[in-house]
Parts: sequence; structure tokens; C-alpha cells
Amino acid sequence: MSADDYGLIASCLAGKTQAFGELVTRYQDRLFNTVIRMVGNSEDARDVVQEAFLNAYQSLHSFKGDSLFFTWLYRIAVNTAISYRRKRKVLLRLHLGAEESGGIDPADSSEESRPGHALELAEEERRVHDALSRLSPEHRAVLVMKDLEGQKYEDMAEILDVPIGTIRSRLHRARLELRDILAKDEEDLPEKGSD
Amino acid sequence: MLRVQAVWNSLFDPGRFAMLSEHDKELLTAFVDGEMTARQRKATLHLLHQSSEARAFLRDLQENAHLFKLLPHHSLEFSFATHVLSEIAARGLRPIAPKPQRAHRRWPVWAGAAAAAVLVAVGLWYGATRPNIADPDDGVAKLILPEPPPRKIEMAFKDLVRPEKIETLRMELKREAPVQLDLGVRHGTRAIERFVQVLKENKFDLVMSPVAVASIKKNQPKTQYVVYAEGIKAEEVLSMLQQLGNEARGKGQAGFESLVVTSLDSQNRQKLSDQGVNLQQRNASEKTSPAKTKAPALPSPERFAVVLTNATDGRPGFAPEVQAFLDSRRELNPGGMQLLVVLTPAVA
Repeated sequence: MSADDYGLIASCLAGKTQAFGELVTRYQDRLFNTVIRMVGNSEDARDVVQEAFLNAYQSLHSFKGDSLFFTWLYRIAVNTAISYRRKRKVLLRLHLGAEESGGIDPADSSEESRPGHALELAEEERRVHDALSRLSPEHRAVLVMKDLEGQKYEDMAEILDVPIGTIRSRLHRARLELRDILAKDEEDLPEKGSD
Repeated sequence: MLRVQAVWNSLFDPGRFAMLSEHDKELLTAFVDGEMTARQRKATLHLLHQSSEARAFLRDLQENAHLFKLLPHHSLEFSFATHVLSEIAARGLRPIAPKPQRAHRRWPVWAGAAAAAVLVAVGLWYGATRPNIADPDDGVAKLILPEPPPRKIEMAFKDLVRPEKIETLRMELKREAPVQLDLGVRHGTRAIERFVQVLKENKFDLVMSPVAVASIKKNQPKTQYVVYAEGIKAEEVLSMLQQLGNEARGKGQAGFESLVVTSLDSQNRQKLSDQGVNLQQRNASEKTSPAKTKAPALPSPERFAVVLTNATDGRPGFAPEVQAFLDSRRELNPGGMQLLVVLTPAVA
């Protein structure tokens, strides 16, 4: 976030739509990384991020500058993701593979170029991703915000519009639920987990 | 074995942390996140000192906290912004200016100006029409979209330090219509005691009905109390709520937790009327005469208050002290609010 955000917002409100493109470029990846964990696949995530930006664009007048622009944007994106998820009623994506989603590609780090490493990472991500997708939207949201984004309870409470105590208990329950899902998944795996 | 499996396996054994309560585990979760008060931290450190199980649970949580960091970073294509702009153009979108707030009509300036009245009722009469105070755990935030400001504002008392929350509340309180505040509290009697104390600290004279006084003396946590106020300024209400909000974050015993602001609906107006409290009309010619008793000899101070008796005790509004107050209240001052406050214990 920079003070320049405000300049871009002012330009948008003055009718210079291109300025909004700059704001999109700045924050699209941060939002995408959060949303992809919430909605379960890259295609839906892309749609949600786009809708979030369009909502934000229409609502620019309501951004009063009393919070960071990204926080405001983030709130819109998280809530768009939650409602999108509910609308689509996508309950389980048990076998979401990288090739199927088109978005869960293993990190292309050259350092980890040993054979099998990328595959392990992809498998690990898939498992976490699948487990996340089986949580309720509320539990998934707090986990992603805290453990992926490192948001503070206070900010999370503001974004989700619930008391801090609710954030804490929800996060606790979400972690336990994720733990159970992952453990059960492992039980269901034949011999794969031991290689 | 994949790391994620190893990490979560360590937590899975259901018997492993059987001695830890949910509260303990929740505290440890907050401890890992570094999100706790000094008091909670002290309690957690004590727990960790005492319990090997707690220490093991903490170790696992600390490992798990890094789980998501293992996940790779994803990017959208560079042309995404262009695509968004194309969508904006295709849909003909533009920033929508918020609808202007209703102009704050100037109240007629009445001779005699300000009068404030606070009435407190106690009982269950209100229960049937009690609006839903949303379960915080059900709360999913609403989008910030350019719809008109909502007519129902919900927030936690603890959030009354946030400028945007305060501003939202201020805007709602400054509406012309009579306002209803539903306060979710932990202990009904402690909450009304504290609320009355705050009213007094803010120089409100308060008259309490005998039944309300008796109920307060019983110190029952589940009793629901009702306060009706007239002539109070929005800023004064806001200030009092913030004061209670500050206590909600500290060691306050009253347990003010949630706050819902709505317009005073017709049902509850009727309820009030049944209690003998008729809302004063803004126009002098429409002013409701609450009773036919002779005018009381009370002076008409700038602020004073009356407490109603219980609904189960006949027509409480016709208790002599209440009657006297109602007859002596002054016409509403400009900017003065009509406010119904309902304090509802969580267990009610």
C-alpha cells in the first residue's frame, strides 16, 4: 500500500478508468492467492477476484480512507469468495488435480529441481487444498486469513464483521477440523503416504 | 511421508490431548498466533508450565502454523488488469456515488427547549417482539456495496473504538426516526445497574419504578430491562455506548457484548404505549397526553428520568411517579432523540 493508491483512486473517481487498472495490477496476485485457497480452484478464484475488483470499482466512493485500500479490497474479495462459494454450492473437490484445475501448479523453483520434489509439493498442496475446500466458508476464511495471510485477529474481525472472540474460537475449530480431515485422508490412502 | 501428513498425524490421536479442555486449546491457539491479553498470556504460561500435554499441543500448533507457508505462490496473468478494465467497459460500470443521507430536517424550535426523559421497565413484555440478535458465529460480513446504508446496524461493544464503526453508529443515531438499541448483555441486572450509573454520570436524573428497583435488588442475571429516553442527543448516546464499550474490553462485570440498532418499530411503540408511555410527537399540537391526571408539581429540569414498573404489575405507566414524569416532560428539543434501549441477557 502506498500513498499513491489514494492518487489512483482519485483519478478513478475523476473518470480515469485506466488508473483502476494500475490498482488491479498492484493487488491482483495477493487477492488471487487468498481467494484460490478459499474457493478451491484457479478458475473460480479468477472469477471471484474479477468480481471483487468490479465491486470495488463501483464502490470506490464508499472507500473513506480510514483503512488501507488493500484491507478494504481484501474485505470485498473475502466476502465475494464466501458468497460465491455458497452460491455455487461446491461442497467437495476431493480429486482436484493440478492438471484438472489448471491453476495448482507446483512452484517452479529451480532450487528444488530434484526428481520427485515438485511432485511431492504438488501432492502436499493438493491435500491441504482439498482439506480446505471441505471446510465451511467461515472456517476456511479464517484459516486462510490467519495462516496464509498472517492477518491479525482484529483485522479479521473487522473484515468478517464478527467479534474477536468469534474469530479466535472459529480459528481454533477450523484448525481442529482441518486436522481431522487431513488425518482421515491419510487413513484412506492405501500405501501412498509412506513413500 | 509427506510433511503435511506427519504434522497433522501428530495431532490426530484423539486421546493424546484428552486432558486439555477446549478452552485451554483455544488459549494455546491464540498463544501461537500471539493474540492474547496479558492476563490470558499469564494464564497460558502457567498452563504450559504445569502441563506436558499443553506443551505438546503447543509444539504441534507451532508446526501447523507454518503449514500454509509451504504452499506455492500463484499469479494471475499480466493481462488480467486489462481484462478487468474491458469488463468495466463492457458492463458500463462506473463508481456509484452513495445516496445522499436524508437531509436532517430542522426541528421546530420549541419554547422551553430541552427536556430529556429516561424510563426503565423491567420484565418479559418485550420478548415476543425481540429482534434477532444475530449469533456472532453466524456472521458473515456483508459486501461493501453502494446500497443505501442499512437500517439495521450490528456490532460488538468491543468494536466501539473503531472509527468506522463509531461513524456508522453516529449516522444511524442521527436519523430522525425513534431508534431502538438492543444490547446483548451477559448479566441483566448488572448491566442495567451499570447503564443507570452511566446515565447518572452523564447528568441524567433518573426515576425508577418500585418493581424495577425490587428486581434489581434480586440481582437476577436473566432479567430483561427496558429503558426509554427522550430528548437525548445522538452524541450523548454515542458517548455512553463508547464508555460501555471501553468496559467491555476491560474487566467490566456488566458484560455488554453486542449492539443492534434499528428503527423503533410499530409493535414496540405499541408495547410502550401499553406500558403507559406514549411517544411524544414532534408537533406540539399532536403531542400525546399520557394521562388525565392533574399536572404534577414537578419542576421540569433539563434532564430527568422515570423508571416504569413491571408489565406484570398492571399498567405500569400509571404508577404515580411515572405518571407525574410523563405529564411534566417537556417538548422535544431540536436534535433530541427518542430512544428505546432493551438490555437482553444472553440466556434470556
